[in-house]
Amino acid sequence: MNCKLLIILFVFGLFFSCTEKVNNPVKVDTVPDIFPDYTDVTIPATIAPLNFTVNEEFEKINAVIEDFKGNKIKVQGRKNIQIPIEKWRNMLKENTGGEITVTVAVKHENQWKQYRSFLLYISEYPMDEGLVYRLIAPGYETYSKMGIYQRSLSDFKQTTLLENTLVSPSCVNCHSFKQTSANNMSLHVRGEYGGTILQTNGQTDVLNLKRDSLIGPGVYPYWHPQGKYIAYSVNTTQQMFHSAADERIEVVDLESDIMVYDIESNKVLITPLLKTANFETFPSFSPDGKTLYFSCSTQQELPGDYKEIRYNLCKIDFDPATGSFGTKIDTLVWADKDRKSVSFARPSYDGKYMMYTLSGYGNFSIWHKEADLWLLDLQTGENRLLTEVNSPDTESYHSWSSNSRWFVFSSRRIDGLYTRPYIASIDENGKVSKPFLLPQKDPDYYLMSLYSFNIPEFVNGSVQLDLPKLKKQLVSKERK
Amino acid sequence: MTKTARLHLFITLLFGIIVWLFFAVFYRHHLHYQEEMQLFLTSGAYFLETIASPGGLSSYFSRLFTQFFVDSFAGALIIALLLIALQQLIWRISVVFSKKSHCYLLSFIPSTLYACALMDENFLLTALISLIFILLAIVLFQRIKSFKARLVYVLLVIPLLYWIAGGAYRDFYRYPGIFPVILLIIFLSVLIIPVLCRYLPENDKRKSRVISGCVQWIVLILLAVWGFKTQANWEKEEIMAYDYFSRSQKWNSIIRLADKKAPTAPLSVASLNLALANQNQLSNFMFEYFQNGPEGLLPTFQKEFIADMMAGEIYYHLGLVNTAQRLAFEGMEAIPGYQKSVRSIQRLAETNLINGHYEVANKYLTILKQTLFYKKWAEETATYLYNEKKINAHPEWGKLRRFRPRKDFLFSEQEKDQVLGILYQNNTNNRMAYDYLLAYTLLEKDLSHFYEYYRLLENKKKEEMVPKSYQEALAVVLGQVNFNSRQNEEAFYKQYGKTYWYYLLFKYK
Repeated sequence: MNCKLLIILFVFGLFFSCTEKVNNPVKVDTVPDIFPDYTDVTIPATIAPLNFTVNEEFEKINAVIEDFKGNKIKVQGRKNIQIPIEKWRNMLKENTGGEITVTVAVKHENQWKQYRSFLLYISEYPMDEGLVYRLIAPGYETYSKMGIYQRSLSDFKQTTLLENTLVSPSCVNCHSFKQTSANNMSLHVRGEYGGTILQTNGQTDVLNLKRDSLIGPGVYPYWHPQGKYIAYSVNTTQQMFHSAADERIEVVDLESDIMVYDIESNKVLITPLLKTANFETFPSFSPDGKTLYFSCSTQQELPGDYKEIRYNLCKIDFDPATGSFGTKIDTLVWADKDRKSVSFARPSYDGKYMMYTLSGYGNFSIWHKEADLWLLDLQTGENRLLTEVNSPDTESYHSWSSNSRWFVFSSRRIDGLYTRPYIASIDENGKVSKPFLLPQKDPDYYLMSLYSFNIPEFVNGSVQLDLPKLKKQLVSKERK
Repeated sequence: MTKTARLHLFITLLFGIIVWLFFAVFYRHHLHYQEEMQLFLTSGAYFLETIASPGGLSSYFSRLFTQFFVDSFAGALIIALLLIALQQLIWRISVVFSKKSHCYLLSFIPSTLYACALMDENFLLTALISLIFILLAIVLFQRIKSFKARLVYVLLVIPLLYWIAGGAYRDFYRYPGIFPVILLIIFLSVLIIPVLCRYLPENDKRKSRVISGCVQWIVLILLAVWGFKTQANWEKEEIMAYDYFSRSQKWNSIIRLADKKAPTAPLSVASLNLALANQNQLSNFMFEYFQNGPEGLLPTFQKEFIADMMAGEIYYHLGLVNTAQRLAFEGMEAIPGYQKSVRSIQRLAETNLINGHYEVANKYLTILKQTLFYKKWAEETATYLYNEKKINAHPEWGKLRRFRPRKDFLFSEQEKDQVLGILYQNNTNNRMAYDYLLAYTLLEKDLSHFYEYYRLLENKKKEEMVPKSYQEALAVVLGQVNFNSRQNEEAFYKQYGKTYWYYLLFKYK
C-alpha cells in the first residue's frame, strides 16, 4: 500500500470517526439530566439553538432532534451538543405551533446509554428580536468592567451597547425602553461624568435629573406608553453586609420618592402624595398610561429596622394630557399584612396582568433567596404565586415581551449567586410554561462566566448608540 | 568561537544572571504580586477570547508567562530569557545594519530599561513580547534577499503583526490609558540603537575600542542606575513580602522579617499582628514591634486589591468568613485593567465551601481547574464539595466553620470591637478573636473598654499567666504605674520602648 493511500484512508477514517453510530444503547426510562434544563420547555420559533450538555461523565454525547414529519437533526459532540443553526431554524419554522422531540444518548466506557426522549414545544407566539441586559460581577461596593449589552435572540450574537470604560471610572445602569422599543431608551451613567442618557427616535441627550426639589437623581425608570414621560424613583440607598453564612448583602433605601420626567418640557412632575416621609419606589405605568403603579412602605428607623420595611403594591391616577396626578393612593396588594414585600410591579402591555416580585422584606429582592414571582390578574383580581417558574432560590427582575406572551426574569437558581435570564411564555388563558435559560453557544458559558445578567429587557430591534458622540457629550459635562 | 563571540556570550550571560538574581531573590514578591493579579486559563475559549482583538496574542503570551511568577525563580528566568531575546534581536538587526561589532553593549539598553520598568508592579510583559515579535519579523525580513519575496513577506507580515501586537498598547501597563515615559524611551532606543551602530565611527585601534567600550559601559550603567532609582520601590516590596507570607501562612517568616526590620506600613504591621496571633504571641509581643493604631490590626476597607486581600486574610483567620469573602470579591473588582484574580477566586471557592454554598464553590473550582498551578488544589478541594463531614474534619475549614457567626449581624467598620466581641461570644475557643478584641481596645487606647472586656471575658479564658501587654495595660488601669506625656520620649523609649506604656504615651495620637 503506498503512502498516499494510507493518508487518504487515515483522513477518511478521521472524518467518519467524528460521528459515531449509537450502537446497542442501554435504554433508560428517564429523561436526561441536561444543562441547561430544556426538557419539555416552550420556546419561540425564532430562538437560537438550545445547546446543552449532560450532567454526568461521558466520552461522547449524541442528540437526535426530530419532528413528527420525520425530519431529523443529528448532532454529536465530545463535550456538549451544539446544534447547527440553519437546520434548527428550519425545523422550528416548520413546526411552529407544534412540538419536536429530542433523544439524547451518552457514551461512557464504551457503552452507549439512551435516555427517554423529551419534548420541545414551539409556540406560535412570536418573540421580540433581542434582549438587553447589564453584565456585572455580583459584587459589593467595588466594580470592575461592566456594560450593557444587546443579544440577538435568534442567534448567539452579543453586541456592546455601552461599557463603563467609555468614560472611566463610571457605572452604567437601569436601562429602560418604551414597551420594548429599541428607539426609546433611558439609562444612567454614574460617576464623574454621570448623567441620564435619553434616546428618543435617534436623538440622544444627556440629562441631569437631580433637580433641586428632589433627594437625588432619577433611579428606577419606567416609560409612559405614549413616550412622553418617564417615571423615575429617586432613592438614597445604603448597602450593608451580613455576617452569617446564608446571607451576603442588604440594600436599603434610607429615603425614596417618585417623580415623572416630562421629556418635551424637560421638567419633573411631582405630587406630594409620592414625595412623603414614607418610601415610594419602582414606578410603572399601566398600558393606557392613566395609572402609575409603585411599591410603597411606611417609614422605619433605618438602617436598624431594615427587616421591618415591607412594601405594598399601590397605584395613583395619572393624566397624560396634563401631566397631573390623582388625589388618592389605592393599594392593590397588601403584602405587609402577610409580612411580605412587593418590588418590580410590571404590568403586561396588554393590560391583563401585573407581575411582581414578593420577598420577606425590603425592596432589593435579588439578595433575597425567598424572593419569588407573583402574577395578579388585573381583570379578575386573582393573585397567585407563579409556581411554574419559581425555584427555591431568588427570582427577581422581570419584563414583558411587546406582545405580552413572553416574559424574561432573572433567577439565581443555578448556583445561588450569579443571576441568569430565564424566559417563559404565558398564553391567552394565563397558562404559564416551564421557563428556559437564555441559550448560549457553549453550554458551559454559565458555569465559567463571572458576570450576572442584570435587568433583562426585551427589545424589538437593534439599539443604536453613537458611542464617540456620546463620549463627547458625557465628557463635556453639559447636561440638559 | 572567536574571542569577540565569547566576550559577547559572557556579557549576555552576565546580564541574564543579574536580571535573574534580582527578580528571583531580591525583588521576588513583586513577581508573586503580578501572578495573583490575573487569572490565566488554559482553555481554548480563553485563548480565543484573548486573541480576538488586535494585540491579543501578545497579551495572551504575557499572561501565559506571568502565571509562572508563582515561583519567583521560574518567573525571573522567564524575564531574563525574554530580555536576552530582545537584546539578541536588536543586536542581529544592528549587525546587518552596520556590519560592525563594536557596539554590542548598546544593544542591552532596551533590555536594561525594560528590566527597570518591570520593577514597577504595574508594568506587564506585553510590550516586551510585542517588541520581540516585531523585531523577529524584522530579522526574518533581513534574511530574505529577493525583492519580490520581501514584498510578499511584508504584505503578509504587516497584518499578522497588527493582529499579534497592534492593539497591545492597551495592555502594556496595568492602568488603562497610561503610557509610562520609560516605555517611550525603550521604544525610541529600539529604533535608535541599530541606526546609532551604523553611524558610530569604527576604529581598529585598540585604544579607541577601549574608549568606545568604556563609554558604552558607562551609558549602560548610568541608564540602569537611573531606571533602578526611578522604578524600584522597596517599601512596596516589603508590603508584598508580608502579603505573600500571609497568603501562604508562613507566620514564622513574617516574624523573622519583622525581627530584621520592624514594619511601619499599616498593612505590613497588620500582617505581623496576624502572624503573632496565629502563633499565640499577639498579646505578649505585639508592643515589641512598632504599632500604628487599630489600622495596623484591622485595616479599613479601601477599594484597592492588596489592601483588601490583606485585610481579608485577617478576617478569614478570625472566622468572619463572609467578610473575608466580601474582601476577596472587592479586591478582585478593584484590579485595574479589569483582570480577575486567581488568588481571589481561590479564596471565594474556600469561603463558599466553608459556608456550604457548594454550587457556587464548584463554579470557582471549575474555573481553577483550568489553570496550570491551581488545578491540583482545585481537584483536591472539589472532593470536599457536599461532604460536610470532610469539611468539618479539615484543620482550617472545619475550624473556621466553628468560628464563623451562627447568628447574623451586620458588619460595621465603625464598630469593630463589637464585631470581635460577638465573634468571641459565638465561640469562646476562638482565641484569635479574643486577642484581637483586647488588642483593638489597647491600640485605640480605650482602656475602659479594655478593662470591661477583660473582666467580662477573663473567666472564660483559663490563662496560666496574664499576657505581657495585658499586664501593662492593667497596671495603668489599676493605677499601679503612673506616666505622663511630658516625659522625654527618647529616655522613655530606652527604658520602656517595647512596652504598651510607650505606645500609650507616644504613639497613635
